[in-house]
Amino acid sequence: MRIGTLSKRFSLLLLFLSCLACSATQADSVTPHFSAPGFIDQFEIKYPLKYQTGKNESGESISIEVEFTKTSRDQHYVIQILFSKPGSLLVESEYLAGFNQSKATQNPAQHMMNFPAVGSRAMYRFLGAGPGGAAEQLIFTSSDKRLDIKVLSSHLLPDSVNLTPIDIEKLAKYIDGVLLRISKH
Amino acid sequence: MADYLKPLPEQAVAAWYYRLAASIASNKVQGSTPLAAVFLKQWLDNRKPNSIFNFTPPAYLQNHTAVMTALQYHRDVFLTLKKARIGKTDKWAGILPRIKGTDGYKKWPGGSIAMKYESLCDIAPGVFDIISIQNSGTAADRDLLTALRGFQLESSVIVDPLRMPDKTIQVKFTSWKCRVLDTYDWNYNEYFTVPNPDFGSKDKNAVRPQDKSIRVYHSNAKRLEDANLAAPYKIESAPWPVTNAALLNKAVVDPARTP
Repeated sequence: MRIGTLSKRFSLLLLFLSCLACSATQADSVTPHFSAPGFIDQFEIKYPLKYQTGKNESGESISIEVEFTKTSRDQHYVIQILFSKPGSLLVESEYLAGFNQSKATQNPAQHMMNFPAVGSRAMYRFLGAGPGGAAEQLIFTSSDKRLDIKVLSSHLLPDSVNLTPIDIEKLAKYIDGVLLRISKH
Repeated sequence: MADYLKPLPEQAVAAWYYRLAASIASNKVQGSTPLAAVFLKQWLDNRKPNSIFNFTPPAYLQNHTAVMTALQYHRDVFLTLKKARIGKTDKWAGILPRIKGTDGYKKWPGGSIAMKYESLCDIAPGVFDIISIQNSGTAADRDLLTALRGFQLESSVIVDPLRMPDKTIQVKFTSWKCRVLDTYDWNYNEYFTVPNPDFGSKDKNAVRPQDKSIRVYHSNAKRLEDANLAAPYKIESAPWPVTNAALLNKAVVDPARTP
């Protein structure tokens, strides 16, 4: 894939997802297809969001920080979406090894969670939990097989903030839907 | 979201935490059980608050950028090039006050000098550092982030100062070992949401098997500790030798220099 293609698709996504960083009241429809209120309603984010974009050898990323009143330094809630070339994040050999191991050792529901039906293929991983917070990621290849996308979430929240972290599988499906609609235009 | 662990007896909650630790352990990091799983299980196994848990630091901890940055700072403190952060104050320490017999140190009679210093080593000092680790970090980085994030890094060095003809002093690091010190404890006023290890389970003791994820209030950790089914503890890694050539390089200090 040419980087130019990635950048163009990334820009469109960014245009859409930028709205995510606006408050719901500001967000009018950005494109004929997508609107931030729809996104925010869908994921029930009731706190202000701050975002930054990045680009490195791995690909292009959008990082979103949910802003809330912290009572300790370690508290955070960040989501990151990384767009990369197909095959670069979801390596086939790792996918197959993980799939076979999960199928052999996990119950059917857990296996479906580890390898959900997102895009053309997807793999979920729980990255850990401890006093510093909890983190998880889902890597998938888009339905049109033109991108690998990693959705990552890390958080630790005070009791005073009532926030259910975004279901990253749902977010991944949503992104895949956006990409499909972009690719049709 | 409700606290589904709250109505359960403590024994059942402890069993659920064990299953969570096993779930974390199933994703190996560079072939080893992640520290996050090791430490969580140790918290459940432990019955003595403030006991010390020793662990072997994995290579990905020893060689982590944050550790190397902290060690470079330690070198600068030992060579009196940077002030040591001690409590809430910064003060000059290291070799120069010892050689000169200032700041409460006895004047150096010659021979080797042993020094020890520890400072905070933060894997991700800010939110965007967390993002950076998530962006380009490895599974090892992420394990350190959830298992430790910030910890004390202690360096113990022996240096051989050699007075040169021009009255400067050449300092050779003859031994340098470091180790990680931390406390594994929970802030009882926090929570996180994790994948439910019982999702899809048919076991009669499964907790909310219909839920993919479950919110875990750390008030439950307090319940377990109060019921003597878990306890906070101190973490100490086995010391490891510092072998980085740049850190061990000989240095020249000028005793006439006012730090």
